This record gives sequence, structure tokens and C-alpha cells, in this order.
Amino acid sequence: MNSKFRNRWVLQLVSVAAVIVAANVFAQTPAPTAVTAPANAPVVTPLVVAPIAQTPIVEAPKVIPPLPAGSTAAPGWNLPPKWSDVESTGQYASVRGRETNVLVEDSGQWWRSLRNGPLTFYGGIILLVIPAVLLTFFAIKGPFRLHDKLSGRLVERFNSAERMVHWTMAFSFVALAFTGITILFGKHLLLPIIGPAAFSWITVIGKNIHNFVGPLFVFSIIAFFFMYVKDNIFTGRDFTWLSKFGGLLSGNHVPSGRFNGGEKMWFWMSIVLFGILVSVSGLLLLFPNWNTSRELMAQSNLIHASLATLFMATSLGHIYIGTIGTEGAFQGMKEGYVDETWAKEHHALWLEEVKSGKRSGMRSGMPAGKAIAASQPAAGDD
Amino acid sequence: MIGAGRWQQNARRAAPVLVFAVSVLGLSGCGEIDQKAKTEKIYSGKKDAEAYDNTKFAGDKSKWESAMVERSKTQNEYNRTDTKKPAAN
Amino acid sequence: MARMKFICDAERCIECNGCVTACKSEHEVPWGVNRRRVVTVNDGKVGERSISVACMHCTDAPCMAVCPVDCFYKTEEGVVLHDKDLCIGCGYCFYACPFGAPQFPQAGAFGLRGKMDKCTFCAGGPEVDNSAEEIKKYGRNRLSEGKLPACAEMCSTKALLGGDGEVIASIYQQRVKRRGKGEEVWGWAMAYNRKDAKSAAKQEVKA
Ligand code: SF4
Ligand code: SF4
Repeated sequence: MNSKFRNRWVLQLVSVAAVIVAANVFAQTPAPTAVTAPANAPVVTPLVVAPIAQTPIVEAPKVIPPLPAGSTAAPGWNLPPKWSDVESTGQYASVRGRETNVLVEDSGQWWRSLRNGPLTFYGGIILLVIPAVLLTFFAIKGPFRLHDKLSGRLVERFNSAERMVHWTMAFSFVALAFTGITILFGKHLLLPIIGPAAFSWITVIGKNIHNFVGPLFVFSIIAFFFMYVKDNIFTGRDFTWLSKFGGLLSGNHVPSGRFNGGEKMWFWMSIVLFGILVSVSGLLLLFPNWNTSRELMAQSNLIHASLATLFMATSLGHIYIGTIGTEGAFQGMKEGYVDETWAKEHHALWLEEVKSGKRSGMRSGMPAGKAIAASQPAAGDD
Repeated sequence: MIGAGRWQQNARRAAPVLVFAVSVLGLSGCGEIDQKAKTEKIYSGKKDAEAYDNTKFAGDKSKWESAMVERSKTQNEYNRTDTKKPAAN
Repeated sequence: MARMKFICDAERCIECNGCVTACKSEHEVPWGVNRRRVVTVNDGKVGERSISVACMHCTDAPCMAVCPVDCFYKTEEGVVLHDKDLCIGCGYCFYACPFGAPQFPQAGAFGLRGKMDKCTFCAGGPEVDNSAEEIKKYGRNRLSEGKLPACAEMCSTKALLGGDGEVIASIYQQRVKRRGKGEEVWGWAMAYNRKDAKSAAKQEVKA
């Protein structure tokens, strides 16, 4: 009951935060300005433009507008449409092609101002600040070290399939991140240095890498989700973990299961939420042959780029914690095994489960040359 | 009931963090930057011959310009059809 | 000298698609690409108008602003051109352009589009003017021959005007005075109901 209640609470917080973020995004869009009649060169008494008749021919406008002196126009009949009203509705065009019958599509301007404005600016800042913060933290505090000596007994943390999926995702993510960054920021950072021709080569190769690795990333996300979701369900103790920042401030580890609150946040927020949205928007952009409208493409691009930036920012945190930030963590994902001491200090409840036999600590064979017994022999291995 | 107590404790502990996070998020709305579209002029000076840099105009810009203006004027058929010509342009 | 501009007079356009054809044949534009098209508004209803649309050579060109490889450039006369050698076919210019001017020879899976192609105001590209290479990539360079865009010169009703902005604006002005209607010049200011629509409209016509 309680843990359920807490879960709901967390969910509400997440949604409140999402609403605030969304509200801010909307706050950035330029407020619609009043329709000002364009004053063009001709010095003609402005005409009262007749309402556009939606019903076929016969119906003449009710108010017949007066005509300027000397005009040859038929009064109230066959006046031009109000151009500012017809701009983005589909009309007729004999030339075939995507949206050829759309006279004006003004969503592009909205997309441009957001992409070239806040997205590039704040996105760039985020991608610079996060690594700086992490490196500063590392310089000051150094990695989280183990308190006890290594026990020499190994526990299996990730089996080979889990590792394979993780690394497929990781490498494709890195490839996508670098090529994506080139497309959004390269014009400002790289192009002035290496010149347009070389930059164009890099970007066209990058674009194709991005487009062909993208689907691989999508598949790996799906596989990853099903493989890891079971141990990433939020429980009550994760909330305790999060409220104490994982013991970051006190220095005492809060006991956690196979994955701690932070890892679960990373899983749900980045891999699931960002992953799904980035994948869906990316797939929409990936297939120009699907006849997607320009407006949807522009919107997808905005979602894609902004969430990918956040994804990259959070992944920097994940990479930091998983490599230089935590002693012994990288080994777990690289080789699949962690030392019992590490397990006890970081995931005590998980180790207990393994020891009590509730969960297997040995699901695949030991790597050759590692003739050390795993944890306590677990009864009823799966 | 023990659980509820702990929940309250946790909530109390988390409250300042949340208030901080929410206000930071809210504050970010003030960071509105100039939305007026500008042309990025990084690459506008790209190499291309000027339209008058050829044998016909021999690099004479004004010659080319007046040729273009004259040619543009031919699009006014009033000049050809009208007897009582309106003000010439 | 003023900027090069197009004006299409919706009161005159009869949707003959002569401009579309003129462009295609002058530049031997690849199959599936149309640099110019005619859009009919209120088709079959009172107030039906047709208008010929191509690249409007925007003063503050969105395509130029979003291109990730910055392959666009603008000539002294305000013609927006691009370099096909640099284009990566990302399609961003197509999303950004209000007039749907950028076109792509392909639309394949995995974002394969080919090099972008659009109206050049008959001013070719960065290659040597009217070289075989330029003609192959961008079509004919009429401006360097002292000619105006083929579409405008070929327009049978003179609905489509192209050339020196001041001259064609005054032609249009004179026309509107005569017939007493259709004074709304269709273009950027019409595309966006911007606060500075007034000045933008003036730029469209005059600048
Ligand atoms: S391609 Fe579109 S956005 Fe670019 S200059 Fe032409 S009309 Fe403007
Ligand atoms: S398709 Fe080509 S011209 Fe258009 S934005 Fe992309 S790289 Fe630039």
C-alpha cells in the first residue's frame, strides 16, 4: 500500500516537473503578434475584403464594399481572398509533390527560431556545464572508493546478454551523440576551423552514420527495456535513497537492491522516457518517403534535438559514475562480475538476495581463469 | 502506520530540494532570449563570380545594373499598349 | 541597385503553368523536382486566385539560417544561392522555408534525399558562370547574360514579374492604381503576421 502510494507521489512530482518544463518551452515561443495589414507600395484606398465564401459560387457577399473611384472591379464580386487567411490551408496545385498545394507553411519560422535560438544556446550550455561540474567534483572529491578490502569472491552482476545489449546501446549512443552534435553545433564550432568543404564531408558521413545507427539504437533500447525493467521497478527504499542523494552527502551508502534509486531514475527518465521520445521523433525524421508533413518534421526535430541533448547530459553523469566516479563499477559491466565487497557496499540488499538464494549470483559460466568461487552456493538456481 | 510516518519524514526531507528544483525550473522561464530572427552570416561571403564578371559586361557593375533595370521595365506592357501613358517609371 | 525580387499578381495569374514549364525546360531540372509551382486558392469558389510560387529569395532567409553545413550564400543583389557540393541533403531548409521552395530529387528511407535543388533566380551556383558544370547542377545563369528569370519573362499575362525590386514594384503599383484592386502583394509579410510586417512588406517590394 505504502510503496504504491509513494510511487504515485513520485509520479506526480515527475509530472509536475514535466509540466513546468513544458510551460517554459512554450514560454519561449514568440507570442503571436497582432495581424497588421501590410502597407504596400500602392497608394490605393484600402479595400474592404469580402469574406471568403466557403459555399459554392452563387452566394454573393452580404455587405457590398464600396469601390474606389474609377475602379473596374465588379462590386462585391470576385474580390481576391484575404491572403493572410489562406496561408497554410491546403489549396490546389497541379504540380505533384509533398505539400505543393500549401501556399505558406509558417511553422518553419517557429522551428527555426527555437532551434537556432534557445535549443542551440541552452543545449550548448548544458553540454558544457555538466562535464565541467563532473570533472570539478572528481577533482575535489575523487572517486567513491571501497571502504573494505576486496574479498576475492565474485558475484555475477550482468550476464553476457545483458552486457551485449548494454554495450550495443552505449556504442550506438556515442556514435549518434557525436554525429548529432556535429549537425547542431558543428556549424559554430567546427566549420570555422576546418572550412566548409572538410566540414561538409564530415557532416555527410556523420549524417549517414546517424541515420543507419539510429535504428540499431532503437532496437537496443527495446531489448534493454525488457531485460532490465524487472529490477528497475521503483520501490519504497528507492525514495529513501533519492532523498538522501544515495548517501552522497552523508557518506553512508543507503542499502539498495540490484539497482539503486539513481540507476532507476536513469533507467526511467533517460532510457525509457527520453529513449522513446527520441526514437519516435527520430524515426519520423528518418523516412522522408513517409510523406510526413513539414510541420510534423520540424516538431519532431525540435523534440529530437532537445531531448537528445538532455539524454546526452544525463548520460555524462551515468558514464562518470560508471567509470572513473566509482571504484569497481566499470568492471561489473565490462566483465560481468563484481567483488563481493563492492556488492555489499553498493547494493547490499541485492547481495543478500543473492546469498539467500532468492536470486542467482551465477547465471552464466565463470570466465576462463577466474577460478574463484562465486558467492555462497545458491540453492535452486534458475 | 510506521510506513506513513516514514513517508512524512521523507517528504519533509525532500521538500526543500523540491522547492529549490521547482523554483530553478520556474526561474529558467525568465531566461527568454531575443527571438527576432537574424541571418547567420558565417558563410555569406562565399566565392562566386559576380553576374557582371564576364565578357559581356566586362566587370562593369553599373552597365549590368542598368541593363537589368531596362530589361525589368519591359515587363510593363502598359508602356506598349497604352496611348495615354501613365507616369513612366 | 535594388534587390532582385519576384512579384506574382494573383489578379492576373491564369494558372497556365507556363512559368513552371519555362523553368523546367530552361534548367533541365531533374525529374520530380519543380522549382516553381502554381497554387490555386479557393479553387472553384468565389474569389478563386492562382499564384505562382518559388523561392522568394528572402531577406532574412530561414533556409540559410538552419542549414547545418552553411551551404547557402547571398549575392549582392539579394539572390539566395546554395552550393550543392556542400549540401548533405538533411532537408532542414525544406522544413524552414515558408514557401516550400527547396526540393529534393529523392525521398528514400534512412533520410536519403540527394542534394537540395531550388530556384536560383536564374543565377546558377558557385561554379564558373554558364560552365557545363554549373548548368548541370543549377541550370542556366541568365542573370550573367543580362536576362531576367525565364519564368517571369515567359509569363503570358505578365502576372509574374521578376527583376529589380523597385522597377517591378512600380509596375505593380501602376497596375493596381489602374484597376483599383489586388493591392496586397503576396510574400514574406503575408507569410508571417509579424509585428514588423509593415517594414517587411516594404522591404519585399522596395529594398
Ligand atoms: S528557399 Fe525558401 S527560405 Fe530560402 S530564400 Fe527561398 S523562399 Fe526563402
Ligand atoms: S538539405 Fe542541404 S541545403 Fe538544405 S539545409 Fe540540409 S545541407 Fe543545407
